[in-house]
Amino acid sequence: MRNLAKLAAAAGAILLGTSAAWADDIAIGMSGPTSGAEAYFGSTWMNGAELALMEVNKAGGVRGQKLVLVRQDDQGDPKQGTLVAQRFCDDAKMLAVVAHFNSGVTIPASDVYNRCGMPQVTNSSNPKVTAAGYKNLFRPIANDFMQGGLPADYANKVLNAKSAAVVHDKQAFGQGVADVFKDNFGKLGGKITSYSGVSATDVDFSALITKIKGENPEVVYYGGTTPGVALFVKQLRSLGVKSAFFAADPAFLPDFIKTAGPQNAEGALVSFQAPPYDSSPALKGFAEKYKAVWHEDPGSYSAYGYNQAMIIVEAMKRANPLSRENVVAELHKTKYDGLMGPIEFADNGELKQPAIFLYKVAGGEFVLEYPKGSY
Amino acid sequence: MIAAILQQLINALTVGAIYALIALGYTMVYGVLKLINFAHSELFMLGAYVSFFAIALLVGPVGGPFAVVALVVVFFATFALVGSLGVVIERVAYRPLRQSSRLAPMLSALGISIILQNGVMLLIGRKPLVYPSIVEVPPIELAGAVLTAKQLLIFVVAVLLMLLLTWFVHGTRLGIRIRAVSESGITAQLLGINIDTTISSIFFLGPGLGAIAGLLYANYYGVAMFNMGFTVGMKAFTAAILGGIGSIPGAMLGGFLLGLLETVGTALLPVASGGLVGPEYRDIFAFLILIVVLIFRPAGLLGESVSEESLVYKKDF
Repeated sequence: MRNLAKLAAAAGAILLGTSAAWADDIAIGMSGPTSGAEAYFGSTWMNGAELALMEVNKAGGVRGQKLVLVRQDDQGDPKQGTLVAQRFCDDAKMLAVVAHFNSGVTIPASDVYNRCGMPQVTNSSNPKVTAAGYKNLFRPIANDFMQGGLPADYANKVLNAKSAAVVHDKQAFGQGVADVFKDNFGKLGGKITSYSGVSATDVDFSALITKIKGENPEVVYYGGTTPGVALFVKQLRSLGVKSAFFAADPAFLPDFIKTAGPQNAEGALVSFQAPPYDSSPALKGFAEKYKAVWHEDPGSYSAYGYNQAMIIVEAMKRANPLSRENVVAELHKTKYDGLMGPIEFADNGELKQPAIFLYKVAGGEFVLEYPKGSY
Repeated sequence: MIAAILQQLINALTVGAIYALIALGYTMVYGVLKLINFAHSELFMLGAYVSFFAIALLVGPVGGPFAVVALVVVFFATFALVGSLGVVIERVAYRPLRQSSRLAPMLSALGISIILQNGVMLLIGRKPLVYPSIVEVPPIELAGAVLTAKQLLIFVVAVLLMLLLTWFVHGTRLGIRIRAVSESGITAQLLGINIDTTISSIFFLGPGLGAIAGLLYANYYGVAMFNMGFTVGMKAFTAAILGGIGSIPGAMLGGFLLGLLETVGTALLPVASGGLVGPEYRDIFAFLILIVVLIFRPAGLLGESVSEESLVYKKDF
């Protein structure tokens, strides 16, 4: 009798704890690094998505049902990410996920989502993410073929650089984007003076930088995440290397400039997938809405979070009856006017009209450098 | 060419000095208790964190020339605070297990390491701390190589502390007691030496040195993370073994040697292997050297060679 009561209590607790949504709510899962070095990226990205869901709920939700965002912290760790993926899959109320943020997490987690047929919209940029050909996976952001290609273009056309040293952190994203840069720069006629790997948790790059200094490259490209990229550029400058420095999108945060020191980060060129928040009326409006709700300026990926939530909502509105398979089918037919341009998917889930931009650190801030023009 | 060699030498001495300071903590504790203090790497990390908050408290409100005085106070405060924590850890986690098998204190040390690391992670957060740079001095150019003030500071402070420790261990009464206890605890007790206070003093000095290493490390690289202790601690422990665990000059030699091996590995591996092997193999290179040394000299470079008298007996376990 006592055991039965305990069992009933436990079952009740599990049921209560599983989902924070009411019986007729729809859950959308979101997983990314909301703690650790990339916490700023993850939490502001999720804020953008939640802003979208708040607007949709205020306008009546999806056919009367409210949408709930279930946030999870995967710490940028594939081991955590796959656990979160399983948890999302097991939640019957969850009809779509915006997951994950880091390529190294998305790639293994996508196997889990594919097995349970969960529509997955991801923010990860590594090309291998769509390599498995999963029909339920969508990537409404430029992939690293573009992110590694643009700096190579810039280095060749604008800087007239003939030599580059490439460094990567041996992880899925970092090595991926560094390889793309290496290939593109080589195809444009540049010479790669060295291609070196460092550990993602390395703090001391002085020996490697001294070696690079001896090669005298015109450009140094670092493919990797924070705080490694900030420490690398800091040591690069203090050892007196004057080459142009390129970094990928994990460096697009204020902490990069703060950790490296403004004088060391000055002139660094960082690639990123979105134009500045004041570059178009749509983005300006979004920035104002975001600030009104979250009381701070939007983060690097907030607009992407908003876009990603909105395309899921649009697909849900068209999916009848609401189920994971129908949402997947409708996501394939997406024709949405996003904050940064139209969103349409190719058969393999890649974005049809991707955009990538190059920012320069000037005076302690990120300033759009290339390509200039209107969007 | 000369510039590159000189620069790599500066890099090696800097990172080697930090390894040496941390290795001293491992070696002193092992010499006396035959215990590998796994918590030492976390005390290194705490040194960085404690000094971060001490700087915010003491140097923040003070400006100008008094900032240097405040910095010296921060040094002493970090040493004292983390040293005291070391004493507390010994009292709580190791002393009750002194009579049991050799494995029990080692597991206890591992437990303390996990507690400290996760404690800092939960209380202070997982985001890396940006370590402030108080004194900004332009770097010195030496025949093409660049020597920054921070590198000089690390080297000077480390060498100073090592000299102080050597004098202390050889020239003071407490030092003689430490050496006596590490040679044979039972005999020392028979001669009337208080083994408890001696061991406590070792746990004050070792972690204190590790904490200063943490301060210098965080100051040099500009970041402090809750898990910074693990990798550096593992390498410093390797340095201690390389130099001969239990031997204080051995730890110093091992630290500098490991720094040199790592730097040489990064610089020369790609060249020597014709591009096959990249700089990311430098850790493998350093540990391979360790294995080779241990095969030919199991006690390390300066460790006492294994003999009948110093053999480990089964009852020790």
